[in-house]
Amino acid sequence: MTQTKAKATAAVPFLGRRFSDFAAGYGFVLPSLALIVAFTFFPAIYGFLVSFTRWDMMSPTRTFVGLSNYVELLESSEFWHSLGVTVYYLVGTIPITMALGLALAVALTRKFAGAAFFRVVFYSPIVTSTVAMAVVWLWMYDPLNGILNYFLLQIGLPPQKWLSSPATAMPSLIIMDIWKYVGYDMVIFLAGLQGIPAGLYEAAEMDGGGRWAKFRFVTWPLLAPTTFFILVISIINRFRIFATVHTMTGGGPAGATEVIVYFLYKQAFQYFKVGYAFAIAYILFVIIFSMTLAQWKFGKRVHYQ
Amino acid sequence: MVALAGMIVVLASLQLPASGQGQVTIAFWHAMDGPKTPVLIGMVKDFMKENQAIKVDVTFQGDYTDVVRKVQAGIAANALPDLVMLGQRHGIPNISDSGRLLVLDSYVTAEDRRDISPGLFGRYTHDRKIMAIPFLISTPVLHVNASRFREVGLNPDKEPATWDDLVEYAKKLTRDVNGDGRIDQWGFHTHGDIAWHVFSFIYQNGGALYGRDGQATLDTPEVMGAIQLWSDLVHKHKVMPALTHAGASRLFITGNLGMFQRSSAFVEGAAAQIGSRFEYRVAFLPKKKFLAVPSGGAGLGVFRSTPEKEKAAIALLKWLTGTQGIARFSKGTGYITFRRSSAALPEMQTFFADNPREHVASQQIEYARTNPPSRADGAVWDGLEKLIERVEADSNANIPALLKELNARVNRELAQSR
Amino acid sequence: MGIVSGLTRVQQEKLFNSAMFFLLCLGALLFLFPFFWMLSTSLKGADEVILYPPNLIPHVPRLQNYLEIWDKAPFGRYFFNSAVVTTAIMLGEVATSVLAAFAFSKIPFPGREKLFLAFLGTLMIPNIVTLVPAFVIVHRLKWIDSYMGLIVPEMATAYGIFLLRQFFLQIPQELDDAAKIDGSSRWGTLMRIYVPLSAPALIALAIISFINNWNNFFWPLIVTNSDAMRTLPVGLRFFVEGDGAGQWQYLMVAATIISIPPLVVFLALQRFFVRGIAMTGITN
Repeated sequence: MTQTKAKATAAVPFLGRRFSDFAAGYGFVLPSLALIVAFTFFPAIYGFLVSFTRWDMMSPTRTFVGLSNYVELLESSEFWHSLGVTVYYLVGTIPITMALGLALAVALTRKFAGAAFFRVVFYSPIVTSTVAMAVVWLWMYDPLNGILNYFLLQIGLPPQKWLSSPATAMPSLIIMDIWKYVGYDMVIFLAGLQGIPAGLYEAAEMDGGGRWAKFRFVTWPLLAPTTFFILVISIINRFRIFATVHTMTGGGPAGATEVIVYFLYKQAFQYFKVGYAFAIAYILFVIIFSMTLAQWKFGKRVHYQ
Repeated sequence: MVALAGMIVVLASLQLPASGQGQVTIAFWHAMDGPKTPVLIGMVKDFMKENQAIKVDVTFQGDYTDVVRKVQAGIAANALPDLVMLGQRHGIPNISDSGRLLVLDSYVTAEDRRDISPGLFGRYTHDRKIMAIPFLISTPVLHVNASRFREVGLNPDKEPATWDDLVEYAKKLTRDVNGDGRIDQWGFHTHGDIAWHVFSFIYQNGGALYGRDGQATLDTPEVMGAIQLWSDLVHKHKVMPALTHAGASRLFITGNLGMFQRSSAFVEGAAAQIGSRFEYRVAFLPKKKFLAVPSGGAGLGVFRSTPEKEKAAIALLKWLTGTQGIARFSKGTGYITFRRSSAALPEMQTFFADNPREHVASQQIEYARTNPPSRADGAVWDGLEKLIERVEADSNANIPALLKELNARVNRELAQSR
Repeated sequence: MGIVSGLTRVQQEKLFNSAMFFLLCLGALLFLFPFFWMLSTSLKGADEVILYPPNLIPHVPRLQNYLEIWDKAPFGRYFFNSAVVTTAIMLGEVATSVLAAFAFSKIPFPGREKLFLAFLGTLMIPNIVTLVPAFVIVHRLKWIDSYMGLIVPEMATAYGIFLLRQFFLQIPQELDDAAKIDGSSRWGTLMRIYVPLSAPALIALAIISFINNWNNFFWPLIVTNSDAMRTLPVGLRFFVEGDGAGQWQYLMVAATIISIPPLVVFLALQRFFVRGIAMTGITN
């Protein structure tokens, strides 16, 4: 049957081939397409339209208010505060996580006894449920009875307030985030490192380069696409955090950890300002999208070096 | 032949399923979790026994916030229950305005109005219409470690009656027991949900959240006085450790907290966990200008649907919130017996005599202060919570300025939601 | 540095390696500590948990906590639901992603590039935006509080397509052409050549999907009404606020139970994982 089909395809004129491509293409894509359209696209458009209304999702009347939700947002100090908190979070976690991830990847890319074990250990936090780990860290961070303060006291350092002070709450979340995501960056860096031809390292050695030179002139430049990829993914992911804040701090104390998605959540489900909340979502979408686009364009240039 | 036909008819009529005789199935969403839930489930089961034609699907939906979320989504998707437990500060105005809730005025009798304080009804009234019947009611009470009182030379029979008493007692109860420089025992603390506890101080000082004109009144001297007390407890008198409300319960249960303000619903669970570790008592909250407490908890509302379902839901509602119902529920769970007729029942009198701790809240409810729910409740709650956290973290916080800012913001929200 | 330069190259290497090994061990200990503490607390009795100073190791490990947890809340049911739902989503996601990735990389159909970009765009929509509208659709389909409602909407993600397309792009066109000459249909090429070649990438995707969906919290929260349908993360969260509040030993037991399956899946298949990611060449 396949033979007949092949003959038939060969015999059919160009138009038929195009149609066959069209049918096959959309046919293969159809399951994903249907799902994504139904459960992502369509709701997103619906949400976008609602962002131009004042609505609590319960009343039968929706008041069209044009851009006033967006204007109100841009004038709202709470919105900018939560954006600032989120950026603080990003800047606190991403560089350290990436640096540590890279260091671990470089250390573990060679095959030595136990390398696989270490890889698994550092990756394991990602595998666990965010809610579950949030509960564990909540217990460790307990300012009165938690184990971390106990350790600090043992080594002569003052106990910290961790999540119960506005100044230390976000750093506490940052520490937990680094613990959770270092492994992710590490794994992707490992994959990137595997793509670097060994010959280049040998060449560098023959030129008299030591460990640091190898890193600086071979590893780092060739990892640039990987690094960019991780940077982009990290920014997108960190902008979306919610579960840790929801479980551990509720946005507090005093709004110190009220990241943008949590702010959105509160507006929707505590203030019942659903249109307003969706406006936040779309501003967030624009920020992430433009950043990704910029990275992509910039990244392309780096790649071709 | 006739005998056979007769037998068949008899057999057939015996096997007629109940639904064939007009059985109604209604859905009841509640927010009760923990060891008290079986009381509610038991009551519903007994209702079904007495009303064979009604089947009730009881489901736990999470906390009050989860219930509102489900209601929100349910309104959009036309998937609402018949009877629903609505938290007193969880969106009742919005849910009412959806038009989906049944107005309950015609089901409330004059006797009910005499039996339940108007303040309580007020919490579930919107646009002058009763949208839910109070059911699960609590107030904050003072949980006291009487053993600790004695240790520091205080008489546990003399409960702190005023703010000054509170501060004085708390200072005595705050101490470093083992000499390591860390305070091990604290004098006073409150549970989370701090906005609710702040309300009690505000009301006690003669303040209010809203004025008669519906505008926010958060920047008045009365409110400032309440917040100032809170700040002093943390910074000046140092009897309350800042921002550790989540761990306060544990502190109390392990005997390291002298006075603990938390909902009356905590009493039974506390007693069970404390055991014989120390002598545990419950006291009234102290007063400043008045003895006044906020009310908390939930009421039961009915969503509109078919006449049969509404009728069934109302029947269940009356069963649960009637004199017998409230008495049974109170006795089983420790929630307040807010119906005067229920409190007067001999079984409740005996219960109170045997359980003085549980009795306190039912007595304190007479001093409940409430406002009707407002669309800006979310803003008030969130804003006040953030403000208090700020005050606890920073001894130099400018309280009047913060309150002014909050007041303006709440009024803005109110204006918008008109 | 002065000391070190006196050593031979080989000795320097050894010193460096030892130092690195030591640091790695230290790092590993630090990393594993939260798990250790979770386990340790889960085996303590109610009195021991609140002890201060805390014990690192429980005096008498209370294994019965692990038996009692199933009565504290319907964790058995939650576990079963999580297992069923996660496996189904994983299989569905891999299957639909393979199909779509193949089309996007190997079938030249009109509008392909634009469609792919659109798919990518969906990755950037915060899921909180699509939540309630998606709920409405699910209700119209009468899938609320059912496995269908838990499974089907979650299969809609472009991440797997992105990953696999990257990989497929690297498979040389000659293989395709050879297959065509042999008379293979597109479907045949996919099944007989691409899928076997990309096994590590598929497994990597399956692992990611399993882990993400096992831990998924928000959607199951809103699409389920009854305890009978809830999944583990939702169950845990209710437990933290309800019965389990303040009872850290039971909370840790629950946290441990939730963490085990993804860890097991990962450990069993982790060989494929890095290879799979590397093969997709997303880093290029």
